[in-house]
Amino acid sequence: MRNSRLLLETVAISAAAILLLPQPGRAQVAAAPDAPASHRTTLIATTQAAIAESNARIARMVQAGELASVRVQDDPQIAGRQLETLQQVYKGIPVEGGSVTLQKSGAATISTFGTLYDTISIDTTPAIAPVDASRIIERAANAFIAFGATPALVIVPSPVGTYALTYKATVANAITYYVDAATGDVVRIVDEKNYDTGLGTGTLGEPKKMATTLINGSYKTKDTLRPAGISTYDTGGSSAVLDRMLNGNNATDSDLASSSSNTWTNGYVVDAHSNTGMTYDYFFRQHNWSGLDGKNRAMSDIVHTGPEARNNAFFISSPFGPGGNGAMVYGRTTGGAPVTALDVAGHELMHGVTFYSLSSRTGSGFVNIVYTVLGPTSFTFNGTTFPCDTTVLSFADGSQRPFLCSNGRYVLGSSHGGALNEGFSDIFGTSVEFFYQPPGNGPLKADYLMAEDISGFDFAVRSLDNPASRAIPHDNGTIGYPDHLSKMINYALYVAGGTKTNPTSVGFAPIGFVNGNFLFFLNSGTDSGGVHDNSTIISHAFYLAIEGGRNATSGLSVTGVGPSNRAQIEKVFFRAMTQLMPNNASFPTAAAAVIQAAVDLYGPGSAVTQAVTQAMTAVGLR
Amino acid sequence: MSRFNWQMSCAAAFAALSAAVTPVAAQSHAQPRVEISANAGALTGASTFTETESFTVNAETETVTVDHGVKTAPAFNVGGAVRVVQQVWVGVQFAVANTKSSAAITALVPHPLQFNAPRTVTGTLDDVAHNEQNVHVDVMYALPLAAVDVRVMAGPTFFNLQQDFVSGLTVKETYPFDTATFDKATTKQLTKSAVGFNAGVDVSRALSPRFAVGGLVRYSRADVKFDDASVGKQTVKAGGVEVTGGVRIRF
Repeated sequence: MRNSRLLLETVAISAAAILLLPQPGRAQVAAAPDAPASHRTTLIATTQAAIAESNARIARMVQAGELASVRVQDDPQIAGRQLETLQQVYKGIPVEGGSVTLQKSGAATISTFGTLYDTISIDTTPAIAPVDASRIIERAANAFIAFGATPALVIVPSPVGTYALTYKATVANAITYYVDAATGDVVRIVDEKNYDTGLGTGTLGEPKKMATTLINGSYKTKDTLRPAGISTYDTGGSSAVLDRMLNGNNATDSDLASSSSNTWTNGYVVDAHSNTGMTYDYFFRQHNWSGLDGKNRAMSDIVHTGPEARNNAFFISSPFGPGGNGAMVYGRTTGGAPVTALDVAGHELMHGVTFYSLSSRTGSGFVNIVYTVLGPTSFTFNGTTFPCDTTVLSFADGSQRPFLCSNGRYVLGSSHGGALNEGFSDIFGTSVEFFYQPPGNGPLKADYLMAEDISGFDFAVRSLDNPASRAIPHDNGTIGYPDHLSKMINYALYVAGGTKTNPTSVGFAPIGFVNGNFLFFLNSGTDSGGVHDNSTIISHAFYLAIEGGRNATSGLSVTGVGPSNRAQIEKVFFRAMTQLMPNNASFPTAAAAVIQAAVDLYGPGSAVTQAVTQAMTAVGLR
Repeated sequence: MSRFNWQMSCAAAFAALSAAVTPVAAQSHAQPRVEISANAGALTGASTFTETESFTVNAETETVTVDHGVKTAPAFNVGGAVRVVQQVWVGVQFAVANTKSSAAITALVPHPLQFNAPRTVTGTLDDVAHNEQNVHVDVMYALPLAAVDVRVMAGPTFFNLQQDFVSGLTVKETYPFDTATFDKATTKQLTKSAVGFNAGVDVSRALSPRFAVGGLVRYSRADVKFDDASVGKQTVKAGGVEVTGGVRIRF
């Protein structure tokens, strides 16, 4: 369920080799902007005045060729409405993370969410050719670019208002590389897989129906009852087979799990296959959504005992996986237990729903915008003080990188999109549980804990009802998961590309801050900017909107809709993600999208809208 | 009892009766000693019966209930009787009644993807065969009436029943499989014999010393128990109320 922190570093480094090096004699060489995000405008328009203002800006940018419509589709939930996404471009080159999504009813705009970048001024002539970028990426990745694609030019904004012309390409195993088109430096690495960590006991002894197909005299885990079709493949623990399935898009019926009698005793396979099917049914019944993309794209599970999925389950999106349709990969724990619980399956499938719904509307899944705040000028760890201006991060290969500073203060950041991605997956993993299981505590009971049925890996469990009750381990002890925006974990940013005076890309350093105060040093990584660690802010709001109660941090109370009406809140969050969410959403944008979804579905004065509005307020998102 | 055996039994019984009455016939030439009759009419089923079957479908048990309604079948019978004493006769009659009727099917069909979520499927099965070939052996008492000849009778009946049973059910269904509709049922015809009883009254009027016309009303009944691997154990009520009319030839 949780990311494998080492694998998810934005910069592939050996975390254990990270050294903090105070350099007292080193002077600050350039001033950083006072407001790191002043170059970026987050559009949240749900009132007439705000919509008029945003529409005027959008019209100007379209006229100037700075915004281009890339997707228009009918709203599948509300008849007569359309959803249009416009991509920001600069001299014809896409701006990473710059887009807006409009909800329209005829000519009228109902809502607008998105992010746009200002004052872009950059030479768009690359100094290196695409073929050179390919060579650089493949050498750095020690892998080929997936499917022989050519790196594409994109403009990547940095958190401090600079822009870098980069080549972007994804290599095998869904890792995307960004290469500075001027220098040829690899400035950013993003693992596109949705890794999660868990431990389990395999089957809990509950009976499951297996939708199978008789092929050549043997029953196979090929579900043809569900319109999408669900195939569950077994790699037999072979890394080469997994590679063939994910990167070669090649899986055959002989890779399916099989049984001569159609009586299945392998809980690993049973849980993966049936829980994916049950999750498919949940999305169809509760949200009228068919499969990963709402259009019954073929679905594949892969059970893999090899190291690539050890203590993990993850979703890998198209173009990877059998048939190029993505896949949900379920591993085992180091103790051998399958990571295949029902809420895990719901979580992973929701990653697919998130990816494909965003992609179909906006052209991509969540983009990894780093939202920043300013931290202190220094922090003290183990008796040593580390000033931002004079501290560098040292890597295992001997290279060093400065920290990103603004007027001597650490610039801190986290991945809102990643946290929203994980938070919504937790929300719907939990929702699947409540759809099938009776409420209560213990195995096969619905609750607000994620992966709790996988015993023996307690620290991986997240709580939606009481996030702080679960501990995030770090080098100085533990900290509870945040239940409020003010407790969001931010990480010190270091300059990954460019220079300290002109950074073009940043990375997360494993130094955590909460509310601007130094909190911990993480030897184990940064959780890709807190994608799991901060996910409980939005998922706790989901809990409050249903059950009601008081947020422990803000002290604000919420009148929930009640457990018997949980489907209303589920529908609201689902609409927010699948129809309204921009791919560059911040936490506040997501909160606004959720509230707008409640207005769309139940009206502005409804109890549902009041519940989600109160919940978002209680967790600090509005 | 097999079909072959009960036919042999009937023939043997009639032959034995014929032999037994010969001395009596010799005692009175004024009254007929032997009568052969042939009748046509209808047999109305003894009662409805319900066929309940279970099959393993979608990893659960599917139950199928088939309600067989009251059947009215064309009925034919032929037989003979002999007078053994003044007013007492014995007779044997072979009766046939074949019908094809409709049956109402109600099935609980397990959901293919969920436990404990059966779908109720209803349908009608046409042309369900119910064929009876029965042998009635009776002792008759002739009432001393002048205008008409009236005989009341009772005795055992040897039933032979051919019955169609549902051996399988197919439904039309599509995702998410919350409902299913009846498509068709497969049937299997089984044959079984049983011994029951009959009682009735025969009324006739002589048109000449050797020829008469009359009518017969008889009620017969037996529970025929089937046991088959594909349809399970089923009990069917055979017989019913038979109303026929025809001719009598007397010697």
